[in-house]
Amino acid sequence: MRRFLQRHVSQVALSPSLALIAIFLYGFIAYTAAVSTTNSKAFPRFDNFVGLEQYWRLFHTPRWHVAFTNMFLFGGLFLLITILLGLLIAILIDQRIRAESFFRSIVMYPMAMSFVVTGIIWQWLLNPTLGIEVMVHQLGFTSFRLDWLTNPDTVIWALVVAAFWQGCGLVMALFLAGLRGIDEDIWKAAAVDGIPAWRVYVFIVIPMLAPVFLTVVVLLSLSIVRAFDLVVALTNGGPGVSSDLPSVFMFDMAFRRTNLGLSAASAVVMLGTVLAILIPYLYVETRERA
Amino acid sequence: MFTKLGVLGSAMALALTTTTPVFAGTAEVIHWWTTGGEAAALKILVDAYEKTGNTWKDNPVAGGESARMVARTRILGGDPPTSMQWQVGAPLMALAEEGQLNDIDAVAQDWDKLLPKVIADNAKFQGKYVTAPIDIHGHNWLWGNQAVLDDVGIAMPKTWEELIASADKIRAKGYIPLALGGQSWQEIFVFESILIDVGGRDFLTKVTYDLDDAALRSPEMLKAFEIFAKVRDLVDPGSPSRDWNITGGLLINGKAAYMIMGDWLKGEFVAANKVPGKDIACEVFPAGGKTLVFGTDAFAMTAVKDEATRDAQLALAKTIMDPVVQKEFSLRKGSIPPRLDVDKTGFDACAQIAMGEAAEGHLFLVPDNVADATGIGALVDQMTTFLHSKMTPQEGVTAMADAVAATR
Repeated sequence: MRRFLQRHVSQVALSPSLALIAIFLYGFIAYTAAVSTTNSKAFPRFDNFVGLEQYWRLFHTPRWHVAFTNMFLFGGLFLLITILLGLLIAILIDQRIRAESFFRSIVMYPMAMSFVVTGIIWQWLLNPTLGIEVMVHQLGFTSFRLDWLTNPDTVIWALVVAAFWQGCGLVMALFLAGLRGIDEDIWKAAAVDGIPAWRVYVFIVIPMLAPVFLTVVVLLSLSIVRAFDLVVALTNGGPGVSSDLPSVFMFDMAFRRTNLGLSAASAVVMLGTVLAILIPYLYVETRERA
Repeated sequence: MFTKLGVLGSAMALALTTTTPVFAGTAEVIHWWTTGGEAAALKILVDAYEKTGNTWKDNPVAGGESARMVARTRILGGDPPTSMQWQVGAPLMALAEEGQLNDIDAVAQDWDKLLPKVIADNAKFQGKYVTAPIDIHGHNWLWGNQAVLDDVGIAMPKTWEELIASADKIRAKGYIPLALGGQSWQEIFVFESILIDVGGRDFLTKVTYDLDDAALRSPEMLKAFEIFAKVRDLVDPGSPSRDWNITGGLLINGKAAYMIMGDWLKGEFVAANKVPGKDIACEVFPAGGKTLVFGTDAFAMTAVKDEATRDAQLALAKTIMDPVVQKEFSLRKGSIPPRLDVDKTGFDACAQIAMGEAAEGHLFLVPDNVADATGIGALVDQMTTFLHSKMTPQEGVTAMADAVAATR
């Protein structure tokens, strides 16, 4: 017994959490997948198997198309802008500037705020009858328009701006840590060779940050798929359904429309999307280790 | 250590037995009436119930969706509350079909005579009452700021055609013609009133209850979308996604001439010292449509088995249907009582109109509580998408009919 414990102590210590994960994560994933093959309404029932009908229905729901497209549109813009500006801010702060921690704090502070607060702040700022637009009008520029929130074609930008404002700090911190990890000798060598700083960044330092990029992309991607509270607080899916995201769609179907079957189908499609992002990442990770 | 716990335990048991008299039960009730007027109305019910010797165990959950979710989870977990705020019709039947509700016919023998038929029918499962209705809220009300109407020199419109025709005059005086909060649940009130306008009650039934494909693609539907497209020009730029109470402020403060909203808006009038029916004119819209779309809050009676709780449940049902409770409750809530025999004194002019409509049999249960939830949901999604887009009426008709068809 004692020898068994000695040999397997790590497995024994891990087994409770493994069991919990098996039940509450994988177990319920399987449960959700099972519900998605039924015609469940308000309560999950398994006596009315309909096969893949809910998936057919899902992809014939115009609102799902809006939500699914939005996820990629919002995700793409959010990733691009947050990474570019986050990296730029990190590089600027990395210049051994004065009051560095002050600037770092400013960029980091929004991160301390929940998405709900972020959403409400930006809802007020972007509201055309009481926010930035009114302020600029009062300054005398009366032709200024900022109708992102009320225009279905641009509302996605409002989401991107709010999400960027909140997520930028984290990205900046990760890049800054990466930049600080770069060997000083590289900079000295480049200085000896007389290479301008921007070329050192573009051709030497940024390629060396590749692992940080990977981390940032995965972290942000997951927050894109999860994004729910931001939309609910900022636009509640509107105008119309133009700023819907899959998570909002799923919640609506499950709890407002009491259609658990369809809701479960959308959850499974979302899971598929997450896996499509995670599997390549895990593949790269494990190959690097090996 | 153990003896200490034992002493503590018996002390707690003693405390429990002394606070709960043996002759009466306790009803645990989940509801979402937490704000001013709602809470005041609920207090009428709670006080009346406790006078029967039973105990009301209050379980408020802010927000209808959260409250329903909590109730559903409790039921799924096998620990249902004694009763919970619910709605008559399909949401109730979904519970009843799962065997999650008790019948309360023991106290409901004469309810068929007291309630409008549409409410009685939708409060019963297989011919037995499973819920006690407490209020009626009308949806398709047109409100008009009387001072604005006087300033423009117009009367309350009777039809959509008249309303749209008056818009230019209203705009010329610098007012917003229609105050609208651009969220789908508010926009549907506008859309439903247009459906009544173009095709009457039968057409509204075919479109929203039956989700009938032929009706959805009919010429009347096209006409409805043509009117609905004009609503885009009746509202102000701040409309999309705006909350209903902020939108109500535009009407009350004389910035907008009209608003279409349920009668809970009256609570905002009262808070602003405006008298419904005088400062703010009201009309079931379109006038002469003989249709008042309504929702009814009701307390669903869960399938509790324990005898004492069962008695407490029946006592609760009886209290809810008490004529004094029904009247006093609605006076505070801004609704009208489901019981038709409650006298009208004390109610404001608009509530009296609603009570007249109810007596005439003009009530039309809100489609959410009748139609297939996914089908009517798809209709609402397309309705709001259309309003916030530049789609032509014909495109709107096709998109809506196709989306509804996909849910079948």
